[in-house]
Amino acid sequence: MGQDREDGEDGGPDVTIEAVGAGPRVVFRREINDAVRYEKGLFIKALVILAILAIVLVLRTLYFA
Amino acid sequence: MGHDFLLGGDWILIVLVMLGAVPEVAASWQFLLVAGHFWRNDYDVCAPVFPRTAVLIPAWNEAAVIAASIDRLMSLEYPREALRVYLVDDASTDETPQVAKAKEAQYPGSVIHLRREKGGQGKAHTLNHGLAVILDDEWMEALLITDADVIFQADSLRKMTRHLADPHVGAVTAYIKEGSRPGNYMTRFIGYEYITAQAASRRGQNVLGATACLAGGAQLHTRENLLALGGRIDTSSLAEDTFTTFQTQLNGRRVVFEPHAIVWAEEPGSIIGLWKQRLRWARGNVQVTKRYRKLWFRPHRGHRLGSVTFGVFWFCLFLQPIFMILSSFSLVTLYFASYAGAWHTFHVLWITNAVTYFFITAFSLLIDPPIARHTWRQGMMFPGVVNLGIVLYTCVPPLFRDLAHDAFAASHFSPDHALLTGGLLFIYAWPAVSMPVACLAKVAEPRRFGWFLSPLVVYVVGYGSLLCACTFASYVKELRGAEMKWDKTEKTGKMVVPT
Repeated sequence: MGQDREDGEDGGPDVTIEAVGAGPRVVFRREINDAVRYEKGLFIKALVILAILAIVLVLRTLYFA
Repeated sequence: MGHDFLLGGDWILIVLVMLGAVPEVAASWQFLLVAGHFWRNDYDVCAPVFPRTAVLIPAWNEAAVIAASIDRLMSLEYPREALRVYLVDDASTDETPQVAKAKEAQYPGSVIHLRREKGGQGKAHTLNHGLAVILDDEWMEALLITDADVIFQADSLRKMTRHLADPHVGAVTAYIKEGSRPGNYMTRFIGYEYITAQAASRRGQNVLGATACLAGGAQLHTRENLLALGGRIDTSSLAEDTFTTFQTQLNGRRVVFEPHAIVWAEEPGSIIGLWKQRLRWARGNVQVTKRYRKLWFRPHRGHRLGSVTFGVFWFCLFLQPIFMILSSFSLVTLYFASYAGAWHTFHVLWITNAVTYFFITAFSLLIDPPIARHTWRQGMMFPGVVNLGIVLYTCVPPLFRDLAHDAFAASHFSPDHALLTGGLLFIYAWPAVSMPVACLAKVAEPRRFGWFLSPLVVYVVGYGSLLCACTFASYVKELRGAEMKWDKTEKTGKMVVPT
């Protein structure tokens, strides 16, 4: 990784990326994994809601129309 | 009663009636995009980076809240040597300068107090005062713009800066939650609204690749992005944060929402406070819509702001009051042209509304369960009692027919034709009528029994109708060219934030 924005001109990050220790890197990796897991959970929740909605619509059409 | 078959003009009316469902359908589409956020996000290009970050806080009479905000910033999980707080005091007349001086002494070199002797020009001018000082120094690599009352969770800043490892990212925003506890009905409505407007919508915008607005209280910019913006914030509008967001993307940089970086803010606890704040935001949106009129629905290689989907999202929110008025007016007109046509269209419209309501509400409550536990009643009541009654009726008509029959039988009352017709027309016109009725809540609030009447009206007409009324008022203000006044939201510092 580069130093002090010098990489910005050739496509690198615009900010300083200093070498971080193993500890922060482990925390970072865990937090990213947690975030992605949470987002996957939202996908499952959306599917469950859509399934319930479909069932309610079918029941409504059959019994309450 | 009119004929019972549809003519050409009737179909036009039916299309106009169904416009009333378009904003909700568009919102549902945005929520469906949320489900795709696990697949399309920026986490694979993140890295643990800690740029030298200047925090810029504009403050005018913020003595009640500023000390706690600075203390929280100083205890962030972020290298202390890479963090400086610049407090720009906009000629405060309370104890803000004294508090700022005390914090400057407590955190030497980390907290800098800047004072404007002539203030009152608005937030953008105050920010520019601080920006000029900060950009003059090469130290700053990233700038966090926030508000005096905003409280950052300890890990929030580093969760934002990790996105700056991607050279294409120009700005990052966080998830702002309403923090008043126990709060009141209004802060709870806002708390729920922020799940839909931030946690959900902005995730959807991440997936889409176009962001409508960086939250004013939590926007992180790279130095390069600020320089590309001209090193200053737009002062010609009431929506400086939206202008900044649009311009960042037009300059070819990406704007990212980080839903797991959480900050807390105190929002208005009254309709009058909410009205001032939302009128400012809505007028700002009118100004943005006009300023970028050549952008809409014109896809561009460099950004996604011109995409059809983003345009639909933007205009569905921007024009929602117009859609509601057109829909109601057309349904009432259709009633006189074709009774049966109006009846069937009414059912299709409201079943569509019921489906979108169920999906959006259920998903919102599951997106942020901790906030949902605090605000679920307001989430359920968001559309108001009348709209929920209509939704229930269209979903289970036999149940309502039986209930009405039993009620009339028990009361020995038999409604005549005129009453039934009036009732039906009232329901048809309700989406439009609900907006002026919502204004009554604002009128009632400062008056006698306002503490009771005002929330009652909001629960009956719905918080959504109140926001639509505010948006409509913003059209009127802009058309009249009313003065752009920066009505500051009053903060009391009564926030309880999880540690």
